[in-house]
Amino acid sequence: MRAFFAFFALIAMGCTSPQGIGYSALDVEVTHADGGSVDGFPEKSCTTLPVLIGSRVVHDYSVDGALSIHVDADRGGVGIFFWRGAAEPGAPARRYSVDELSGGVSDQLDVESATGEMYVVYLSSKCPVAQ
Amino acid sequence: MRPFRAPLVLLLFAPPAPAASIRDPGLRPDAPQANTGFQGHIATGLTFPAGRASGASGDALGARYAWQWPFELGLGAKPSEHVYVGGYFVFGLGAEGSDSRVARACVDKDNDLNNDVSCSAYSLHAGIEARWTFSPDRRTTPWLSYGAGPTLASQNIDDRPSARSETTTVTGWDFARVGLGLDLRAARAVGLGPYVGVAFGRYLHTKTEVNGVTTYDGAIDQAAWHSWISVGARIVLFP
Repeated sequence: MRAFFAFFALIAMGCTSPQGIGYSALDVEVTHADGGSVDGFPEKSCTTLPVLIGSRVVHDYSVDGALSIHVDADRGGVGIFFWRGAAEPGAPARRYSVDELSGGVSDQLDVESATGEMYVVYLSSKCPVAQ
Repeated sequence: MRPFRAPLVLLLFAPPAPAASIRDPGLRPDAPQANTGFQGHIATGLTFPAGRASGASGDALGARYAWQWPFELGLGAKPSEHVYVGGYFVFGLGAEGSDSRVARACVDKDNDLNNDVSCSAYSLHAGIEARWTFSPDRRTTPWLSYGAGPTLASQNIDDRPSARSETTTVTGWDFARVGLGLDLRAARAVGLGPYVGVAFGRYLHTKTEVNGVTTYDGAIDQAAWHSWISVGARIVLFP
């Protein structure tokens, strides 16, 4: 009986906290091959995976106008595509399932732009700021 | 000289006219006369999803949307005793479907008696339909209808603790909206009765919004056939 009253007292006191949904996300960061920062690359480059069936979240990031990073996420996972010029790539350079993201992803890719410049793309499931 | 024929739009505003035909001698004397001219109806009941929202794995319509509560309005005219032509508009209100991941997210996880994650769904159907009434001057008459028009379905999940609201809306066409019902003509001005109906269609376009910002807007890669199956009752003006 005491536990019963304690339980309702906790509710009355608001000791339970609201709980949202746990989201998976992928953060994209880019540097020049020598580690220098890329001008104009957005600080907020985190893609949060959607929850609903059929939902899609698509982000495009331009790197010095010579390379485009296309992030295409649905609730099952996220694909990373690199576009050099007008040609669209057929397959993603990387694809991570929602389970892989939940387990933790930290990846690094060396990518060459259309002008031959080298960049390093960092992919991480830890997002500093969710979008 | 060509005989004058009233356009359909005039029939919409014309008062119901008594049927000019000679009544069936086998009719009960108290059966209301058949109508021509304006006809309208409202209907409600239950509608159930079937088939696939898209060809993607696991994308059954019932996984996205649960059964819905439809409200239907129809306005049109009867150019003859048997034939009705008009427009329909249906709004259906419901909840999330059977997908376990979404269903789990939509359940309140704490005990503050306030659902922190709310989920909702609705659908719209609109278009033009034609209806054939088999015995328009009898007290009870079956009818059969066919319609077609654009359709829309939307699902939302609003995660207040995370300040994240996600909405996905699909649009497409109901290519065949077939109905079968029975009108009980209580009076010449009003009737009511049960109906069943199936709307066959395909969703062709999808749009996702997160916190009001569009994150995807484009064609559905693998369109698929679906149907909404309805049962209910309707009230008819000037049946």
